[in-house]
Amino acid sequence: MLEHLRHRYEPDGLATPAERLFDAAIFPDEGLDIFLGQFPKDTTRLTTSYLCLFTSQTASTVITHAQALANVTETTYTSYARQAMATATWGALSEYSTTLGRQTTYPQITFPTVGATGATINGFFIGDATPPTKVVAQANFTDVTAVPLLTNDVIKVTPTVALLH
Amino acid sequence: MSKQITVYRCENPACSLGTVGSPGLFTGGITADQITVLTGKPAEHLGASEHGDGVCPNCATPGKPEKE
Repeated sequence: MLEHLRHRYEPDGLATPAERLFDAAIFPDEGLDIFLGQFPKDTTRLTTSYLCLFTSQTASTVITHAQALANVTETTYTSYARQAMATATWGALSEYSTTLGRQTTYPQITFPTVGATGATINGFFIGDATPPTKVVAQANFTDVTAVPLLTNDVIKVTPTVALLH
Repeated sequence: MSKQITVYRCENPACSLGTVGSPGLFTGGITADQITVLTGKPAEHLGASEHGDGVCPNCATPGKPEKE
Protein backbone atom coordinates (compact mmCIF):
# COMPACT_ATOMS: atom_id res chain seq x y z
CA MET A 1 0.00 0.00 0.00
CA LEU A 2 1.38 3.37 -0.95
CA GLU A 3 -0.22 6.57 0.06
CA HIS A 4 -0.06 10.18 -0.93
CA LEU A 5 -0.23 11.53 2.58
CA ARG A 6 -1.06 15.07 1.55
CA HIS A 7 -4.44 13.74 0.55
CA ARG A 8 -4.89 11.29 3.42
CA TYR A 9 -8.54 10.97 4.34
CA GLU A 10 -8.94 9.75 7.87
CA PRO A 11 -11.69 11.66 9.66
CA ASP A 12 -12.22 10.91 13.31
CA GLY A 13 -14.75 8.25 13.99
CA LEU A 14 -13.82 5.89 11.18
CA ALA A 15 -12.49 3.18 13.41
CA THR A 16 -11.87 0.27 11.11
CA PRO A 17 -9.72 0.08 8.02
CA ALA A 18 -12.66 -1.14 6.00
CA GLU A 19 -14.41 2.16 6.56
CA ARG A 20 -11.57 4.21 5.14
CA LEU A 21 -11.29 5.55 1.66
CA PHE A 22 -8.45 3.57 0.11
CA ASP A 23 -6.62 4.32 -3.05
CA ALA A 24 -5.75 1.55 -5.44
CA ALA A 25 -2.21 0.33 -5.11
CA ILE A 26 -0.28 -2.66 -6.32
CA PHE A 27 3.01 -4.41 -6.27
CA PRO A 28 2.84 -5.99 -9.72
CA ASP A 29 4.53 -9.32 -10.36
CA GLU A 30 7.74 -7.62 -11.43
CA GLY A 31 7.68 -5.52 -8.25
CA LEU A 32 7.16 -8.54 -6.01
CA ASP A 33 10.05 -10.22 -7.80
CA ILE A 34 12.24 -7.29 -6.76
CA PHE A 35 11.05 -7.62 -3.15
CA LEU A 36 11.72 -11.35 -3.08
CA GLY A 37 15.06 -10.76 -4.71
CA GLN A 38 16.05 -8.61 -1.74
CA PHE A 39 14.70 -11.14 0.76
CA PRO A 40 15.02 -14.07 0.97
CA LYS A 41 16.98 -14.29 -2.27
CA ASP A 42 20.38 -12.78 -2.89
CA THR A 43 19.81 -10.24 -5.62
CA THR A 44 22.19 -7.29 -5.47
CA ARG A 45 20.91 -4.72 -2.98
CA LEU A 46 18.79 -2.01 -4.56
CA THR A 47 20.10 1.17 -2.95
CA THR A 48 18.22 3.79 -4.95
CA SER A 49 14.72 3.77 -6.37
CA TYR A 50 12.89 6.55 -8.20
CA LEU A 51 9.57 8.18 -7.53
CA CYS A 52 7.68 8.77 -10.77
CA LEU A 53 4.29 10.24 -11.71
CA PHE A 54 1.90 8.60 -14.16
CA THR A 55 -0.93 9.76 -16.37
CA SER A 56 -2.24 6.36 -17.48
CA GLN A 57 -4.91 4.22 -15.80
CA THR A 58 -7.29 6.42 -13.77
CA ALA A 59 -7.32 8.33 -10.50
CA SER A 60 -8.71 5.23 -8.78
CA THR A 61 -7.15 2.36 -10.72
CA VAL A 62 -3.68 0.97 -11.27
CA ILE A 63 -2.21 -1.76 -13.46
CA THR A 64 -3.09 -5.39 -12.85
CA HIS A 65 -0.64 -7.77 -11.25
CA ALA A 66 0.55 -9.19 -14.55
CA GLN A 67 1.04 -5.81 -16.20
CA ALA A 68 4.35 -4.00 -16.17
CA LEU A 69 6.22 -0.82 -16.97
CA ALA A 70 5.09 -0.92 -20.60
CA ASN A 71 1.51 -0.45 -19.40
CA VAL A 72 2.30 2.72 -17.46
CA THR A 73 2.61 6.14 -19.06
CA GLU A 74 4.94 8.40 -17.17
CA THR A 75 4.18 12.10 -17.26
CA THR A 76 6.28 14.39 -19.40
CA TYR A 77 5.13 17.77 -18.10
CA THR A 78 7.66 20.53 -18.70
CA SER A 79 10.60 20.29 -16.24
CA TYR A 80 9.43 16.90 -14.86
CA ALA A 81 12.09 14.51 -13.66
CA ARG A 82 11.97 11.37 -11.55
CA GLN A 83 13.15 11.91 -7.99
CA ALA A 84 15.71 9.62 -6.44
CA MET A 85 14.94 7.86 -3.16
CA ALA A 86 17.88 6.45 -1.23
CA THR A 87 17.23 3.36 0.89
CA ALA A 88 19.00 5.04 3.82
CA THR A 89 16.55 7.94 3.82
CA TRP A 90 13.35 5.93 4.28
CA GLY A 91 11.85 6.60 7.72
CA ALA A 92 11.78 4.44 10.80
CA LEU A 93 9.68 1.30 10.57
CA SER A 94 6.41 1.65 12.40
CA GLU A 95 3.05 0.03 12.87
CA TYR A 96 0.60 0.38 10.02
CA SER A 97 -2.96 1.08 11.07
CA THR A 98 -3.04 -0.74 14.42
CA THR A 99 -1.66 -4.25 14.00
CA LEU A 100 -2.40 -4.51 10.28
CA GLY A 101 1.25 -4.51 9.32
CA ARG A 102 4.42 -2.44 9.21
CA GLN A 103 5.29 0.64 7.21
CA THR A 104 8.01 3.11 6.32
CA THR A 105 7.54 6.60 4.92
CA TYR A 106 9.94 8.64 2.82
CA PRO A 107 10.31 12.38 3.55
CA GLN A 108 8.06 14.54 1.41
CA ILE A 109 9.31 14.73 -2.16
CA THR A 110 8.81 17.86 -4.23
CA PHE A 111 8.70 17.54 -8.01
CA PRO A 112 9.88 20.29 -10.35
CA THR A 113 7.65 23.30 -10.81
CA VAL A 114 5.57 22.85 -13.95
CA GLY A 115 6.84 24.81 -16.92
CA ALA A 116 4.94 25.58 -20.12
CA THR A 117 2.94 22.35 -20.38
CA GLY A 118 1.23 20.59 -17.51
CA ALA A 119 -0.46 17.20 -17.17
CA THR A 120 -3.12 15.42 -15.19
CA ILE A 121 -1.54 13.05 -12.72
CA ASN A 122 -3.39 9.93 -11.62
CA GLY A 123 -0.84 8.75 -9.09
CA PHE A 124 2.73 7.72 -8.64
CA PHE A 125 4.94 4.70 -9.01
CA ILE A 126 8.31 3.56 -7.80
CA GLY A 127 10.77 2.66 -10.52
CA ASP A 128 13.85 0.53 -9.97
CA ALA A 129 16.16 2.83 -11.94
CA THR A 130 16.20 5.88 -14.16
CA PRO A 131 14.93 5.34 -16.72
CA PRO A 132 13.02 2.56 -14.96
CA THR A 133 13.14 -1.00 -16.19
CA LYS A 134 10.44 -2.24 -13.80
CA VAL A 135 7.59 -0.93 -11.69
CA VAL A 136 8.24 -1.82 -8.07
CA ALA A 137 4.85 -0.49 -7.01
CA GLN A 138 2.14 1.82 -8.30
CA ALA A 139 -0.55 3.74 -6.43
CA ASN A 140 -3.20 6.39 -6.82
CA PHE A 141 -3.35 9.30 -4.43
CA THR A 142 -5.20 8.51 -1.22
CA ASP A 143 -8.11 10.79 -2.09
CA VAL A 144 -8.50 8.94 -5.42
CA THR A 145 -8.58 12.28 -7.20
CA ALA A 146 -6.48 13.21 -10.20
CA VAL A 147 -4.17 16.20 -9.83
CA PRO A 148 -4.31 18.62 -12.79
CA LEU A 149 -0.93 20.30 -12.95
CA LEU A 150 -0.80 23.68 -14.64
CA THR A 151 2.08 26.07 -15.28
CA ASN A 152 3.81 27.11 -12.02
CA ASP A 153 2.15 24.30 -10.04
CA VAL A 154 4.22 22.14 -7.71
CA ILE A 155 3.25 18.65 -6.63
CA LYS A 156 4.61 17.12 -3.44
CA VAL A 157 4.27 13.44 -2.65
CA THR A 158 5.00 11.57 0.56
CA PRO A 159 5.23 7.88 -0.31
CA THR A 160 4.60 5.16 2.24
CA VAL A 161 5.31 1.49 1.72
CA ALA A 162 3.51 -0.94 3.99
CA LEU A 163 3.55 -4.69 4.22
CA LEU A 164 0.49 -6.22 5.82
CA HIS A 165 0.45 -9.28 8.09
CA MET B 1 10.97 10.16 -21.05
CA SER B 2 13.35 10.34 -23.96
CA LYS B 3 17.01 9.65 -23.34
CA GLN B 4 17.85 12.83 -25.26
CA ILE B 5 16.46 15.00 -22.48
CA THR B 6 19.12 16.27 -20.13
CA VAL B 7 18.39 15.76 -16.46
CA TYR B 8 19.90 18.30 -14.09
CA ARG B 9 20.58 18.02 -10.38
CA CYS B 10 19.86 20.99 -8.09
CA GLU B 11 22.45 21.10 -5.35
CA ASN B 12 21.01 24.06 -3.47
CA PRO B 13 20.50 22.51 0.00
CA ALA B 14 17.68 24.94 0.74
CA CYS B 15 15.75 24.00 -2.41
CA SER B 16 12.55 22.07 -1.87
CA LEU B 17 13.07 20.05 -5.07
CA GLY B 18 13.38 16.38 -4.23
CA THR B 19 13.70 16.12 -0.49
CA VAL B 20 14.90 19.15 1.45
CA GLY B 21 18.64 18.90 2.03
CA SER B 22 19.28 16.37 -0.75
CA PRO B 23 19.63 17.08 -4.45
CA GLY B 24 16.48 17.00 -6.56
CA LEU B 25 16.28 16.37 -10.28
CA PHE B 26 14.68 18.39 -13.06
CA THR B 27 14.61 18.70 -16.82
CA GLY B 28 14.42 21.87 -18.87
CA GLY B 29 14.69 24.96 -16.72
CA ILE B 30 12.95 27.96 -15.24
CA THR B 31 11.50 30.62 -17.51
CA ALA B 32 11.97 34.33 -17.02
CA ASP B 33 8.30 34.64 -16.11
CA GLN B 34 8.67 31.92 -13.48
CA ILE B 35 11.58 33.78 -11.90
CA THR B 36 9.33 36.80 -11.61
CA VAL B 37 6.70 34.64 -9.92
CA LEU B 38 9.32 33.12 -7.64
CA THR B 39 11.38 36.17 -6.72
CA GLY B 40 9.48 39.23 -7.85
CA LYS B 41 12.42 40.26 -10.02
CA PRO B 42 11.17 41.79 -13.30
CA ALA B 43 11.75 39.48 -16.27
CA GLU B 44 13.27 42.28 -18.36
CA HIS B 45 16.02 42.78 -15.77
CA LEU B 46 17.21 39.17 -15.93
CA GLY B 47 20.42 38.11 -17.60
CA ALA B 48 20.39 35.30 -20.15
CA SER B 49 22.19 32.96 -17.78
CA GLU B 50 19.68 33.47 -14.99
CA HIS B 51 16.95 31.43 -16.65
CA GLY B 52 16.47 28.74 -19.26
CA ASP B 53 17.81 25.23 -19.62
CA GLY B 54 19.63 23.95 -16.57
CA VAL B 55 18.32 26.51 -14.08
CA CYS B 56 16.23 24.92 -11.32
CA PRO B 57 12.51 25.66 -11.75
CA ASN B 58 11.98 25.51 -7.98
CA CYS B 59 14.72 27.83 -6.70
CA ALA B 60 16.26 29.46 -9.81
CA THR B 61 19.74 28.14 -8.99
CA PRO B 62 21.84 26.68 -11.83
CA GLY B 63 21.90 22.88 -11.70
CA LYS B 64 24.44 20.31 -12.79
CA PRO B 65 23.79 17.87 -15.65
CA GLU B 66 23.16 14.25 -14.65
CA LYS B 67 23.99 11.24 -16.74
CA GLU B 68 20.91 9.43 -18.08
